[in-house]
Order: sequence, then structure tokens, then C-alpha cells
Amino acid sequence: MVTNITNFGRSGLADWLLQRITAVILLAYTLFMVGFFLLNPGVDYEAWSGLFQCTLMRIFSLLALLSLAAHAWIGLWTVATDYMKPTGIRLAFQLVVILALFAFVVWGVQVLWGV
Amino acid sequence: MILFVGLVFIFWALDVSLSSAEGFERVRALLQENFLAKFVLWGLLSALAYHCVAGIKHLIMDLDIGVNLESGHRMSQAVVVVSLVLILLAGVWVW
Repeated sequence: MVTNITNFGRSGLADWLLQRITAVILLAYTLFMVGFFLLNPGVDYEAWSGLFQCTLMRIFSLLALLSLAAHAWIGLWTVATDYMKPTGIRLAFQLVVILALFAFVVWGVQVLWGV
Repeated sequence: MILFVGLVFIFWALDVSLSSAEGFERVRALLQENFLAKFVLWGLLSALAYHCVAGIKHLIMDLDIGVNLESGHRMSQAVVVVSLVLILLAGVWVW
């Protein structure tokens, strides 16, 4: 049985499904942000920081942040396993991606809730 | 990979713009006057636009729509055309 240890989910099918669910969430978040900037052309600091104070936006942003981490991990894992045949190079690349994603998640949480 | 590397700029801008009024002003001024910042932003928006349009095509094909040669070919052409339109719009928006 072929088992893989660097993918995200339990199985290929789990990754396949999660990739699509996170894609829809991220698309919704992207459309929301574009809509926000189009509807508030002269956005100022009060409006911008006010947006991220409201709990609903924080929930949506954290959802998007975690979806981004899963989406990017699965996506770049797929790229790595497709194109990077030498194991050493592939594992090094995956390690860098995962560490960077971890840093983005911590950074994102800090931005959303940090003082 | 452009999008992944680009995330650094996005998170930095989000962090600085939310940190304080001065930080917000710094990011706003940067995006309005600095040519390189505008170019990076435009590049990221373009990569994101193409990624989203191609992704939507993927989702459509997962619904068994446009999975034969002819319609598949047409959908791919549509992806390029729609992406180019969005990329031009993003350019107008940034500049």
C-alpha cells in the first residue's frame, strides 16, 4: 500500500476535497475584499481598522487564513510530488513551504489579535 | 509560486496598515506613489486573477462540464481571455 507522509490530509481524496472547499472560501474572501475596496475608495485608517475589529470579520479572516495554509500546502505538495523527483530536493522544498506557512499563520493571528 | 512568495508583501502591508494610523498612511502612500510597489501589487493581483479564473474552470470541470476535447479547449481559451480582462482592470485600478 503506498503511504505518503508529507501530504496534508489522511488520504488523497481528503486533500482533493479540502483543496476545493478552501478554494471556495478563499474566493469568497477575495471577492469580499475587492468589493470592500471598490465600495470604499477613500478608505481611511478608522474604517480599515474598524473592519478588522468586528468579530464576524475576524472569524472570516481566520477561516481564510487557515484555508490559505491548507490550500497552499496541498497545492505546492502536488507541485513538488509531480516535478521534484530527487527526494532530498523535494523534502527540502516541502519543509520550507510548511515552515513559511506556519509563519504566515502565526503572523496572521498576531495581526488579527495582536495588541 | 508568485502568489506564495507574494504573500510576504501582503502580510507585511496588512500588519503595517493595521498597526497604527501612521502605518496605514505609510502603506497608502507607498501604493499611491511608489512605482515598484504598484508593479508588485499589479503582478500579484494578475496572478491571483488568473489563478481564480483557472480554479473556477477546474471546479466546473469537476462537475463533469466541459470535459471533452472541444469544450475543454473552448473553456481554456475563455480562461485566458477572462484573465486578461481582469489583469487589465487590475492595472487600471492600481494606476
